[in-house]
Amino acid sequence: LFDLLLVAHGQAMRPLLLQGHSRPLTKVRYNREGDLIFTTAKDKVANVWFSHNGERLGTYNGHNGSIWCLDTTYDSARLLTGSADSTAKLWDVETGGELASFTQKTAVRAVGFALGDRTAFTVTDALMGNPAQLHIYDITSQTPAAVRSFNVGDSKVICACWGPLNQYIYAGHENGDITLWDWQNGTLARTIKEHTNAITDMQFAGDKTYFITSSKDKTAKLFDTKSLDRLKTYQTERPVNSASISNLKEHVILGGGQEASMVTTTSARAGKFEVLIYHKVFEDEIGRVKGHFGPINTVCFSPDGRGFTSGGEDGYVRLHHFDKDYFEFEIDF
Amino acid sequence: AERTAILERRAEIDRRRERQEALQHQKEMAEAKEREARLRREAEQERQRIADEAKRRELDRLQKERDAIEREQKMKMAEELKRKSEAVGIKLVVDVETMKDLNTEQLITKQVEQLEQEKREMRTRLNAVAKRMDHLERAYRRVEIALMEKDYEH
Amino acid sequence: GIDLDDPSLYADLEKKYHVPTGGPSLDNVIVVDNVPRVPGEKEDKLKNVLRKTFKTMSAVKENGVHLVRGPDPENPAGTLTRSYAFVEFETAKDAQVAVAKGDGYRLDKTHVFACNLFNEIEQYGKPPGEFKAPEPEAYQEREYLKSWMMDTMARDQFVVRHSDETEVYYANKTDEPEKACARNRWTEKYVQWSPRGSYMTTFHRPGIAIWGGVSWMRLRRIAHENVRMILWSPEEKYVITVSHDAVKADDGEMHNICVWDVNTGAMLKSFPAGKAFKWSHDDKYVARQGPNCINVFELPSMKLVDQKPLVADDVKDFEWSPTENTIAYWIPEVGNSPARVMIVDMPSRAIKRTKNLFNVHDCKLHWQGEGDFLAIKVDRTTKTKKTTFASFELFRIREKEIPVDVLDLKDPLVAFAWEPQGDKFAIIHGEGNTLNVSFYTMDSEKRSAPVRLLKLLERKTANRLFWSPKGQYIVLAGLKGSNGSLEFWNVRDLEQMGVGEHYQCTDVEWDPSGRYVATSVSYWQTTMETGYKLWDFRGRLVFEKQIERFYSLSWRPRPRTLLSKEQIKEVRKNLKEYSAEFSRMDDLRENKASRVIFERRRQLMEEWEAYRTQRIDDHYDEHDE
Repeated sequence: LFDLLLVAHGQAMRPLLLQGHSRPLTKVRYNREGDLIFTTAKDKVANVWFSHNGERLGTYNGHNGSIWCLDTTYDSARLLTGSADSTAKLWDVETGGELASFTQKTAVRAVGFALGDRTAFTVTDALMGNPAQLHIYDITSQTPAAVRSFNVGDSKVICACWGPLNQYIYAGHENGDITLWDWQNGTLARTIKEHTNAITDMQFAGDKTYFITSSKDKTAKLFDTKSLDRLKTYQTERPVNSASISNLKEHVILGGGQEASMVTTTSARAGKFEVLIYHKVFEDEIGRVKGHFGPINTVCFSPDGRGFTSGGEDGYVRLHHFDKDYFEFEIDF
Repeated sequence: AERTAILERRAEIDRRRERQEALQHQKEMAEAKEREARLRREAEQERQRIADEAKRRELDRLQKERDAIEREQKMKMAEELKRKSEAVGIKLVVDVETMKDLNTEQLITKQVEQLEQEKREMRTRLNAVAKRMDHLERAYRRVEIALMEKDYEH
Repeated sequence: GIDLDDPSLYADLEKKYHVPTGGPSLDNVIVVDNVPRVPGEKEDKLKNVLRKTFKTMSAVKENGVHLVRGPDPENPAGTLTRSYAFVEFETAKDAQVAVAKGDGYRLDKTHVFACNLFNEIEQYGKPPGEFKAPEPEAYQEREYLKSWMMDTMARDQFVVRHSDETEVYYANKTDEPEKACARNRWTEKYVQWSPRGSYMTTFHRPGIAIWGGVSWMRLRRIAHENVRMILWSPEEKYVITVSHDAVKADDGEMHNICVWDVNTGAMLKSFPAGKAFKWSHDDKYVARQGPNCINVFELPSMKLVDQKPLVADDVKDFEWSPTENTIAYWIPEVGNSPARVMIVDMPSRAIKRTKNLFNVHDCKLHWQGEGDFLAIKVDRTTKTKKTTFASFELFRIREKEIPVDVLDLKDPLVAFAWEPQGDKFAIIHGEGNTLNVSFYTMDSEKRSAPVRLLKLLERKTANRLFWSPKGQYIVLAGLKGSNGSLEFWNVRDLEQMGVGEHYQCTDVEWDPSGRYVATSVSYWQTTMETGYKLWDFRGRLVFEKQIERFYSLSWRPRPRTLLSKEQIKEVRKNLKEYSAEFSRMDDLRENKASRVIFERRRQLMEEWEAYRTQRIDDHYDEHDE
């Protein structure tokens, strides 16, 4: 039964190869409608692509260091990126123009637009005496100074998202902690420790009632947004760099692989790095999609669940549209 | 007067003759020009015809070459299919001669079809072998376990 | 788990071999043997001589020389000093220096000192002459050593070593193996099965331990420090231990190798390090190559057969037949006499066959598993000694006068393997990364072409051959540089059954039934993606597991079957009936298994849906507020 899917995905599904980055990818994300894909990489540029054919629509030039993160507004008009050059930049999606630059003291690890798109946060790394901080910005006025800044503890934040109704900001830390921040008061609302190693990515389900985290501890886990109860665990054999939830089927995808420095025989394993498909409820692996030449740094389901995009250490973005076997495939129970 | 008339007539005749000659000359000139033009045209046409002919022959030659290459490739493919199949212990049903008349797409289809067919058959056969192996071991064991009780007592 | 640092594990054994000393440490004392025996009046003079002698070597303590007086065998009234002396040094270090320098010191024509640390004598010093077999350990209800063979599913076992864990599993047909026993820190190095699977051997600093039975009890311990490797006898009666640490035997030689009786735990004999020991198939003999001879020892006496070695001038190598007490050996070309292969029966020493070979550079002996054939790979040099070429000399042991076929090799040979039961062999030949594999059969259709090529496979990535123990099936594996490509072949029908890959595969091992193949990536070779995969004989993946710090997987060998030939025939004849029953059982089990899985899934789905319903209600409530 599982073989079927494996074959279907491994061979029949032809991905589109998006070539526009020269260095490892850091994030791939769809806009709300799913017609655009935004990508950031260590090559200092952000790109936008049409998701139906993989054609590049534009490039956002201006950062001076690796871009770690991105977010887009509800109407896909604005793009926010955070970079190792210690700035977050606001872009006009259509023209590629830089609308604002928010200067920080250290590298920007995560950014996010709040519901309503009037407010955004950035998270900065702890470095040389500067603590890791969350900064709140007023996007409407584009004031370059943060409205509010507060420390987020000793362990570096690697990923962060707005929770539902802008109540809390959810952060994933290098030590495996998940923290919830009351951003209006700058206080820590909750901490849970469910991962034993760095949390590498965090993505919410479509209705934000639950979310998935991926970790270097070789697992991905599903949590209830409100109670923070752990719902599911997906065990793998390698560090997981990214995980995403399907809005169509009861599936999640995981991307990862050994650290780049550990992979000594990349050429010998050409195209063997796999995106893993797990059944969200049963926690069983149901398929693999090969293709990358190095560890997979970031994965994202399209909002309609009919495809996904992966970005690798190899500098490639692979855009997959599922074929009919995928939609027909059901696990019996 | 008569003399005058004669002289005039002669003069008239001369004029006529001159005019006649002039006309004749003009006509001849025109004819020569026309002939020359025609010859040039004809030569041009001939050249064109020869060139066309050469071109057609060249195209024919190329087509023939292409056909030969394609045929050779098909042959190669057919032989490759045969070799590959035999390398993994599969006898081909279709012979190479038949295969060379097929076009590439048909050949690939044929190739895939045949390999799939062989694979299916082999899988069925090997499933039976695997089952037999397991059942034989278990059957031996059933008889052997009875003997082990005694073996232990020794 | 077992605490291997627990001194009590070996305490009783150590006690048994212990010379009680009491008092302070004697690390600074040495024992000197072969000291002249003198009467009482010369005692002081001898002491002086000894003191002066050792003073030139190391720091002797004041009044540090002690002699022991004993009866004079020739004069019942008088006494003589004994032939050994104790010498005390300032420090333990000084004593060690004295041993290093004084051992072998020639006092005069007849007296050559043998020096040992007192403590070492105390630990190891059981000269074989005085050796007493230890009393058998307290009687225990002996468990049945073949208990795993009572498994009604006829599953085979394997042992997995990873991190500090040692785990024994039953291999299942389609799913995860079933754990039979697991212990933490069971061994300090690796584990090794005995040849018929009755015992598992573990390695520890003080010695080896032997385990078995349904409860995996410890059946025997053998005290030999730092054992590096062991060699079980085929019938599991004896075991040879080879240690890093030499033991000084009574002849003054350093001995690293000991032969033990497994049932009593007694050491039968010890040997200095050197050439490997090779057991005869029936545990009757063990042989070792000597200079110009092969020493064949009889068990359990460990005396040379007929008190003399098997003379073989310049012998280079030898091998026992796996089924008879027959030795094949070869001797190189010397002067005008050609190189020779000899096949000799033991203990009669009757020569069964001699074959002369010319221009021989080297020979490798390969017996077929049933002793029906002997292949000798011969590397030759041309007359000019410039190039080498190889050929196989193939002996048909069962045929009258043992005829020999010759197979010349055109390419360099990479690997050779006999079909364990059968008449075929496979070779890998060629150069570079893409090699050729050839299958041959000894089954001659006509005398003129005795060895027949069955098939040549060109351009393969395989560099190792692994036959099924039952024959017919073979795995062609590309290990090391070839990244673990696997091809599963049926050599009888000359068909490729399947292909597989185990990236960076380091080991391939068939189970004893020939149903499964285990491939593994060992931490001893590489740190990445270590673990194992189980395949069936045709290359279908049954199970795979990546395990960090995975060292090894080893199938448990099986004992000889208790079934007679007639019983086997009977089972085969009635296989249909058995098969029908087993199929029914399998279907039932499968149904049950899938029911369990479906049930679990159904429950998970219900829980999930309940959660979702609840959560969505909450969600709307929040919005309504």
